[in-house]
Amino acid sequence: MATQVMYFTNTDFVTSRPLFLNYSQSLKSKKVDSLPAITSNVRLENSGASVDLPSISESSPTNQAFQKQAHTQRLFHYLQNSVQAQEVARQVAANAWKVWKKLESIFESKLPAPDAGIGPDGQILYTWNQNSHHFEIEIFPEGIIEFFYLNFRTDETWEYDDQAENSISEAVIEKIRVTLLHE
Amino acid sequence: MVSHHPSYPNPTIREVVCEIHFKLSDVVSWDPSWYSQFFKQVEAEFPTFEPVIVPVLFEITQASGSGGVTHSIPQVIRYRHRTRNVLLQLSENRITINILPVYPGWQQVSKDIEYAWRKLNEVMQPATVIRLGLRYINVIERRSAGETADHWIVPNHYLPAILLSSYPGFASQVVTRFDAENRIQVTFTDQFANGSGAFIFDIDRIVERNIDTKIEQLLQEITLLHDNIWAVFQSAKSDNLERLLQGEL
Repeated sequence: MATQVMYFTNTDFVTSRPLFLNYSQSLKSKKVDSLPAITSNVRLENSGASVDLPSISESSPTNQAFQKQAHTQRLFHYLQNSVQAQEVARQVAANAWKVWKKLESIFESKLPAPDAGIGPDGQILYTWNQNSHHFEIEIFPEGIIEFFYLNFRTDETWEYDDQAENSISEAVIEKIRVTLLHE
Repeated sequence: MVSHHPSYPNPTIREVVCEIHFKLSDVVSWDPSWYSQFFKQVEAEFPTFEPVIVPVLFEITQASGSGGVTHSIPQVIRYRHRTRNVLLQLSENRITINILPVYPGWQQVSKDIEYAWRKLNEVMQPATVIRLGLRYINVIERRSAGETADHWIVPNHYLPAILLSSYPGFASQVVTRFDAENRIQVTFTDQFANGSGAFIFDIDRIVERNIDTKIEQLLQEITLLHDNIWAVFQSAKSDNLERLLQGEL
């Protein structure tokens, strides 16, 4: 078994997209300057590993999928950090995460992850803003969930209350479809 | 044949790439009309297609005074699934299946590979498969700008501890050959895209030899690649990453 290894730290990789698209080439180009000890190791250049794989990251729908995944992870981190900092009860955060995962599943990842915040009563607030549409969900410590919609342009409002353990109601699904997904 | 691995509700897989290189028989040459014939075969599931702009690196050589530029621009046509984040990419003697978030699990991925290969065989009849690649790219968002990777990843044969405790702006690539035909390339690096940036954990497994074109044989080989990739990922996964994958707060 032949093994080729190269490590380097604190290099100046600061651009994400080119790095992600083609970072194996970046690694190779950095090799000469950063690791003179292994520059003679040309086998890596000739290995062909991943070089021929067509990258797909440049297309718009693809980027959206990536951004949604990143946003979802950041939402998870936010909830977890809030629990660890004792800013919110674990059960409330867990309920909030379940609500998001239900929505993600219902809308097959078309719905972006929400912005999130913590309210004065220990509730977690999810918000989406798209043009004149504002949609929010509040997840309260008592297991109550409040859904609220506001149209900034027409002042139309809509509300719906539910329990955390229930599935997302058809009324809520329809409201999100029409207002945030424009379906 | 489908291997059984845990399926996570909150996967960190950003992209799965399965690449099948094949060879036609000696008496058959590549026919550009196959791009449209293939589209007709997959149109019900993949109703849109687009040509892909492939960046080409030109290499200018001045050998023996002859000089000149040698290059070729590969043609790639991309077919996009009507509802799911799945792409097929067809180019000369190669089909690629790209699975984008949210990762649907290995069972679905293997079905997508089988679908693509069967449809391809309805248009052309490859004589043999000469190379198979399976690549899993995981992306883990940093919780804060200075977070080191050791919160999520534990050292293994491919990832040394010093890398995982590095200040942001690091990269590592390990290429290992099991034998003349089999290799695995593990890349671990970070990026500074949005906010705090993210860690990229890229495992690329490739086999290069003549493989039977029967779908059962092909899936058996690809499943083995998947098993190898899973073993690398599993050995690098920390308890914190397990919680993230499970969505446990």
